[in-house]
Amino acid sequence: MTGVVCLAVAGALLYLAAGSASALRAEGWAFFTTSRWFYRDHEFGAASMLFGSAAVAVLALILAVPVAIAAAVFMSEMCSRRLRVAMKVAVELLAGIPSVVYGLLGVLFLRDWMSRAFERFEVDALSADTLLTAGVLLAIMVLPTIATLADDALQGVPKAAREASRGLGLTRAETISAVVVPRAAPALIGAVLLGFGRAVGETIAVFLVVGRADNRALSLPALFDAGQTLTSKLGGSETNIAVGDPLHTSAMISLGMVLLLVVLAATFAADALRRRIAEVR
Amino acid sequence: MTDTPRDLITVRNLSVRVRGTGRMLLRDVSLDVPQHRITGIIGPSGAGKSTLLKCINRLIDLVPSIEVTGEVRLDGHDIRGRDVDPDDLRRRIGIVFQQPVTFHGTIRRNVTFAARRIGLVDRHNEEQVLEESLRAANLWDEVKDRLTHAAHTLSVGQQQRLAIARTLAGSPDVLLMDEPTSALDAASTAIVERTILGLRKSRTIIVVTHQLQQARRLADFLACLCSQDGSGTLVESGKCETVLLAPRHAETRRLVGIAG
Amino acid sequence: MRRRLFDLVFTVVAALAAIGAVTLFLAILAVVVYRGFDALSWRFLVEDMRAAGAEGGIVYQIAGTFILVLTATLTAVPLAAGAGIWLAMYAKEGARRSFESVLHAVNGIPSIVFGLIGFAFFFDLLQWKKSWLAGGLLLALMILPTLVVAFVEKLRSIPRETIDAAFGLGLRRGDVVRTVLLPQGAAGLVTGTLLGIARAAGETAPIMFTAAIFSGATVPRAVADSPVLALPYHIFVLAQDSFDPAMRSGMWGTAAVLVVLVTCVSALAIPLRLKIAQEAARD
Repeated sequence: MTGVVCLAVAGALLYLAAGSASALRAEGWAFFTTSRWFYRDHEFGAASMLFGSAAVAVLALILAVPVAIAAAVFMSEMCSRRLRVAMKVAVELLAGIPSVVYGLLGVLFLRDWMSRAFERFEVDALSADTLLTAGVLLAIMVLPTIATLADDALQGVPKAAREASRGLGLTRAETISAVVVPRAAPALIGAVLLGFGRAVGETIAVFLVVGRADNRALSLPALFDAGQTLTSKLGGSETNIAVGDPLHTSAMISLGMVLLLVVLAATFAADALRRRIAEVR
Repeated sequence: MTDTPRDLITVRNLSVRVRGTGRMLLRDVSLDVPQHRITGIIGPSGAGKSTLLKCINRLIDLVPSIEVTGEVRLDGHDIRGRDVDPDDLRRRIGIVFQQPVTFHGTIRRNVTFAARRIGLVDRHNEEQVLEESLRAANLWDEVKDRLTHAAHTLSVGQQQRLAIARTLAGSPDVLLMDEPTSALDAASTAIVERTILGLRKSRTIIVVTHQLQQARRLADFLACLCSQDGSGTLVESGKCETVLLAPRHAETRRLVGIAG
Repeated sequence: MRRRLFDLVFTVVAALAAIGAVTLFLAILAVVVYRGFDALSWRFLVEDMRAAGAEGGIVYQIAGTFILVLTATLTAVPLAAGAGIWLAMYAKEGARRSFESVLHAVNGIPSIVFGLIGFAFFFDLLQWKKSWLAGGLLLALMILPTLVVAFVEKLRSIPRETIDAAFGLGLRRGDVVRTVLLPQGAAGLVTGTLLGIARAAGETAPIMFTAAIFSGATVPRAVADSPVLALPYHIFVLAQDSFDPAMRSGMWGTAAVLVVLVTCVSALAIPLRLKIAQEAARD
């Protein structure tokens, strides 16, 4: 039975690899470095999408990681057991809300707020569907994931370490910052990596608020413009359009392949970090 | 003992209760700890010896749902007084646990980082404090050439001495030691015991041990804690030889192995 | 003094962050339920859709989601049970470790990639059209790691002595599995299944290429060419036309149903999970 699963997984990977071959061969490295994507002319440069995915994920992490880790510190180190359980439940239920609902909230609320913020700060934007908007929405989505994993990481530090630190006369904040957090650092980084993986891989919510515009510049001001990520492209109509055009199909598959590799890399890195702590102990 | 040392720490009617179950971990314990001497606390496991230690440096405060009544005075001052800072108290009363705890980082960092945070040590005297603490803990010679190595590469015995050095870096007047050699082999035990004896003249030390021979080697005074009706009570205390060779209480007698 | 200040600021910042996170959760729940409440009515739940979602109900979306989730569950549970038993009882160290890596990797795969793979497999290779079975199988593969991990976690908490005792009584491996592992590990499988159901019900990307359409389907009659409607896909399509106020009620109502469904199922799993974690921690 497990063999079936493994076979399925292997088959899928091979399919992806094989499928992307022709497009990659046709474009070469230009696939990754140019940002011109005109499928009708068979021009496939994915750079803006790579930029888009990276920008949106990084933005999400910048916003979410400090809050998530601070919340995790509170949950793990500063509250009573009952409160911690209640909070952990709330955070995990938050993480379980379907992405399409987050997308809906983004479309119906976030868009307007971003619009008003753009006006307040006099940002010249055509609409509020931008990379920035997608980044903010992703931050909210990824927050509970990172928080709960960070909480697990902190809980993994043995009680004796905290006792010894307080016994030396260090305050609780000093104990947390100088003893607990460094000890939990690899697992905390793992939590952030997994959050990154989730942010990069998120399709539906991003699709709804990112604007889905191709061929944009790779620059900082572009964050205030509509953009495209690997996932929003794959989730759009081109996937269906590509059927029948082998080169186009292959290009789409390549996008999927890149996405998969990035997310898998983040997942494996996070695992390796978590295993490292187990060994040091 | 030609001079009669004054009592640095006095414990009066100390009781520790678990709020939920109502169980008393310690019941009405009263004890005097003389200055510059080693006081040993013996007794069967579960009798509350570690709890007693934690009451003295208020580490017990960190355990949830615990109620402490009674009085503990350090140098005449109530440790629960309004003007007492518990973190400062814990610096003045150092503690070493059975399982040595090593912090993330180098040997050097392990010894001095807490003292640095507190402000006792700065760049000017760090080297001096480092060396003094490690020498007092009988570890200097073994690690002086590898102060920048990771602390967890040390053996268990060395880690325990590192923990002692770390505690000493804070210049505590009192040292609490909870079964400091139980996790160590015979050779390391001997070194640690030698360390403890060496620290006697300058500090007040309380050692919890379940090994009577160790108590005999180290302690000047002895207190025997036994579990009665599920709570730890002090059954006997006095000069070490007296307690071990001519115990009065039945529990002590049982512990020491004298028939009758 | 500075140390006291640091301690205070530190605590306050952490508390604020935590309160913020919890408030976020409550706010999202509140908004969805509040807005959706207006749209919710018995008729909404049992009527068919009209006017492309602006009127009517979502009964076939509910049915579609139900079919997809049921298919996924019925497929995934036996597979997960088999995998879990194999991991716990029969697998050798090396095989176990590699399978666990594979499982973890699959768990991290973005749902859109699942959708694409499904698209390629069912559309391209098998030449199916949109099919509820395709969607269900794909979802099964997606939630499989969740089930296996929960199951194995529970199996691992079974004390070694119990298993040794069973062998000591002369039972063979198969018997031990039947009499000890399955009954005692069942709670873990149930937990994993609940979590898997919650996840499968809410996912859009895997089904949007393989199984779901927006309108026109009711109850599937065939296999290879019978699409279904689905709650998340319904919301997805409506959200793209969000400027139309007539659609609002439908969007919120569907979202409310979906969120309530997912949250309740996940919440059911919580007491079990807590118990399992406690038992595991005790060892």
